[in-house]
Amino acid sequence: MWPFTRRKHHRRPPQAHPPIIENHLDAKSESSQDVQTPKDAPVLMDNLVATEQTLENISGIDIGLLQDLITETKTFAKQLETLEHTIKQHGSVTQSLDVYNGSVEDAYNLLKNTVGQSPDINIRRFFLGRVHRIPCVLVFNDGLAENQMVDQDAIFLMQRYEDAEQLWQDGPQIHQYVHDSIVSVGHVTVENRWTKLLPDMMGGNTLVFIQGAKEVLVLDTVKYPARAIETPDTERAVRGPQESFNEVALTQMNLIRRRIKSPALHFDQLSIGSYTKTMVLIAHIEGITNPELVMAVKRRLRGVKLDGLQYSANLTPYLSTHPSSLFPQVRTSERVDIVVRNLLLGKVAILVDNTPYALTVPSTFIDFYQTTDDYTASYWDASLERMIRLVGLFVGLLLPPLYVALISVDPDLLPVKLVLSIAGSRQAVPFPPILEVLIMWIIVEILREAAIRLPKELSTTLGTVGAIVVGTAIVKAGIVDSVMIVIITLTALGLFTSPAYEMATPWRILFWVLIVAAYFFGLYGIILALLIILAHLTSLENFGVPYLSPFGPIRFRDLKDTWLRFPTSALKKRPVYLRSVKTRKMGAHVPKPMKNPQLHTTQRNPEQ
Amino acid sequence: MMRHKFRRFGWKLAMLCTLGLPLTGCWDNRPVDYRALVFTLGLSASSKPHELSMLFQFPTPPAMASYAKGSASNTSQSPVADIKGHGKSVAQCFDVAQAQVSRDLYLGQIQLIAVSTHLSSSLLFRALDSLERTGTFDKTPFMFATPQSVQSVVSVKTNQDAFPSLYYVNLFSCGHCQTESLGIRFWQFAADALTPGVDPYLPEVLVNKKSQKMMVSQEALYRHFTYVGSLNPQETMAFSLLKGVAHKVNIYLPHLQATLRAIHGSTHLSVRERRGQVYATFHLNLMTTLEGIGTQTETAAQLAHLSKLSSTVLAHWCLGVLEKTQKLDVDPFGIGRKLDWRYPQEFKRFKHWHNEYPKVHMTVSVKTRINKMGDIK
Repeated sequence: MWPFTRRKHHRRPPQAHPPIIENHLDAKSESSQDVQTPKDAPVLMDNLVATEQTLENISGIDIGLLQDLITETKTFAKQLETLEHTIKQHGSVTQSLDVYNGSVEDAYNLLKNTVGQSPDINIRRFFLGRVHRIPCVLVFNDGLAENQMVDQDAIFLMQRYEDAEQLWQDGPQIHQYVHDSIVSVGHVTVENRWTKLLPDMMGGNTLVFIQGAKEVLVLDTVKYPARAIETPDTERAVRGPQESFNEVALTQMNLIRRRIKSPALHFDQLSIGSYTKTMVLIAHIEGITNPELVMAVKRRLRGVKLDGLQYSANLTPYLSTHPSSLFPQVRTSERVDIVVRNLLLGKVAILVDNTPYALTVPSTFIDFYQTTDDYTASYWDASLERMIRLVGLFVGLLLPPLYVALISVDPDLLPVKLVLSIAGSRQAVPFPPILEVLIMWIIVEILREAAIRLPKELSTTLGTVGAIVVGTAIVKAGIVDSVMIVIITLTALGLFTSPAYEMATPWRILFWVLIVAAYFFGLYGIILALLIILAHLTSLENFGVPYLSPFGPIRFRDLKDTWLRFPTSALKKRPVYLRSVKTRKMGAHVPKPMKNPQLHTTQRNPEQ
Repeated sequence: MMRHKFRRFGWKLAMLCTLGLPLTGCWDNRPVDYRALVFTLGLSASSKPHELSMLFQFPTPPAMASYAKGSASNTSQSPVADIKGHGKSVAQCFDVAQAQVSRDLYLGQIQLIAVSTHLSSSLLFRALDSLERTGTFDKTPFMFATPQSVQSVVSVKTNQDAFPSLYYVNLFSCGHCQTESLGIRFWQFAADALTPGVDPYLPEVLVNKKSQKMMVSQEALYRHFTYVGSLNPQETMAFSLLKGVAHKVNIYLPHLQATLRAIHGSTHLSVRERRGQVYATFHLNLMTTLEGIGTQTETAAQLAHLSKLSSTVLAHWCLGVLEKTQKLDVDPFGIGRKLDWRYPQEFKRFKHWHNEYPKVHMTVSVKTRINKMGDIK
């Protein structure tokens, strides 16, 4: 018949046992007495201990390894003992070893021999009820769980409970009664699989095992040691809100929820990292965000297989269609208002526990040049600032390559007075222009790196020293031309006009590509390199959104919020490239005060 | 598979670099401070027959360093170095000159070309043709002609600019600064010389040998590449009015003791052909400012009279210039070119335009509007 027939698994239906609650605390249970230790085990242990004692008397021998071996052997023996007991107890019942078997003694042994070895894990045995005492075990992580909640809202109430006799009647559902009537912790769930219970406990939850109950109570007593909400240092704003995310995902959620009070705001939770079990939250607004986008983000994140996830930046390769590209395709921000703005536009935000930087996808090139100030100031201000950023980018990127190209390859293109000045100032300089750029850029990079690492007070001094002492001295020493100081200063400033730090890096690398192209090919080389960069930018896309949107493909409607920012009343719709469910983000009729002068009408004297 | 793919890509990249780098020409590249930047080029006839004499003038490194610092250069030393080369071609002259200079003689920054009026047309054509074929030469330098020694004209010291070439460049590039905008660039001269129906012209520079002052107030007329004569300063003023490039022309009318200054305006040339006769009409719409009058105050009638009088005077000046060009058989106004545009078939019938140009019936119509001080123009 096989393989054309399926073998039927006849499971024995669970038998209705009377509520038997054994007291493991007063006397050793029968089952534990049945457990027989292998005969050779004590002999092995005795031999090890005897060897240790012998070696202790001999000087000059490190017995640390032997002591470790003895400890590990003891632990292993206990674990085997627990496993054996569990197997024996459920020998006649088909049940996974991963499932809690209802015996607090077994649970205690298991916990003691596994996580209980760690000093931050507290395991406590106690009785539920004053008269009819039901054995319980409570385990929590000292430091991540709030002791006050564990003491007052769980242990105290359970120990003082007087009507424990009533609980007996509930049998395996006893945990439900405790959940409903005794513990006063706000958030309580039940679970019976060890693979879920242990990570929950490691995350700060408190587990309560009750003798006879088939489920374990998971009390939410999480209280992390967390950094306060501080000013965003990496993305400063003049007039915007001054709140940034901290490392706790719950706080990050709260900060977003405080700004979006709609129930349409969803946080979908994932756990990434087989060891770290890091909580990852996928935030989106239902009814605005394209559901396919949310699904795609979830699909990509579910595919992440890592041992540990420490930083949100570790997820960016999985969220980028072209992870090897120089250009960032995922916007990282510690500003709450930027993440909220992106959510309201129809994007998806990804919050990662233990990282204060949230990720937003899909991100386009222009997203990295938009700041909070663009939306808190008038559109004139915003447009001016954005244009300055664009000019800064071009100045920073092109000034040294242009200098190299015009001085080395195409001096015929320089105006006569400028060529006289440059040639005159370079008379005493011994190096070619490309070497000058290299020297100056290395100095700038060293100063920059040092300024980041040093304390704020020292970095200011370093900046002054770098700018004045090095800048002046290097010209006087005749190592570089004075024009080069001006060019490199403008470049260093220009390349960092991008509000997003991660956008400065690709330009800093491509800068060298342009320099080399300029040195070998002159202006032609610069144009060629720029065309290659542009072609690469055009080829990028993430989550189906072209990176150069709305410039390529051109979307005239979305150009209103790019290098120029139009008035808010003109930005009525969400970007086309996001394919939002709800395209309009403000009412169709924007009131125009001057066209509807109700106030003027009401203030008129009716007698006239 | 991936490894193979990367290796193939690496080979391709290496081959591209190997092929690309020799093609860049980067091995010849030198920074500007390693080059002798020739700012002025002088073209004159050599003492030997059919030979060209070229002057390569470039600023000296100390003078450039002083210029960059903004300090005054050493007055005892000339800020420019003059190197002469003789030969039958530009290349030969260049080689002779290069042998005298330690740096790379660079022709990419030529700002000025001084042409001797004594240079034969064949040599001038050959020199300009060779320069036009030089890759680094950008065809935008200003040109001028001089009947004097080219070296003496281009090396005159001036206290207005650090280098003589800068003086000339400033003079010719700022059209509105001068009485007449006389600047002619290389490509303009070449285009006029090679286009049928129009003849080129160049500003003529003279240096007073005693005072060592430069004067640029005359025009040198060419028929193709042959120098045929010059216009005097008054004719040059009328010429610039006819070309529409006058900015600060003044006239004094002794009858009313009136001075009209800053005469300027637009010119429109219309050409028509009837029964083999070519008629050319210049319409000049001029504006001027009354600087002073003998009666101290002017009436509307006086202004109308002045306007009429000045128009007549200017029209006579213009006609005088036109007659002179007809006598010299040169058409610097492009009447023939205009005729070619308007009546191409008729223009083709003329075998040599220079034979026809003296027969052209010229008309000049001048309208002068006098602005008083305080009028909004």
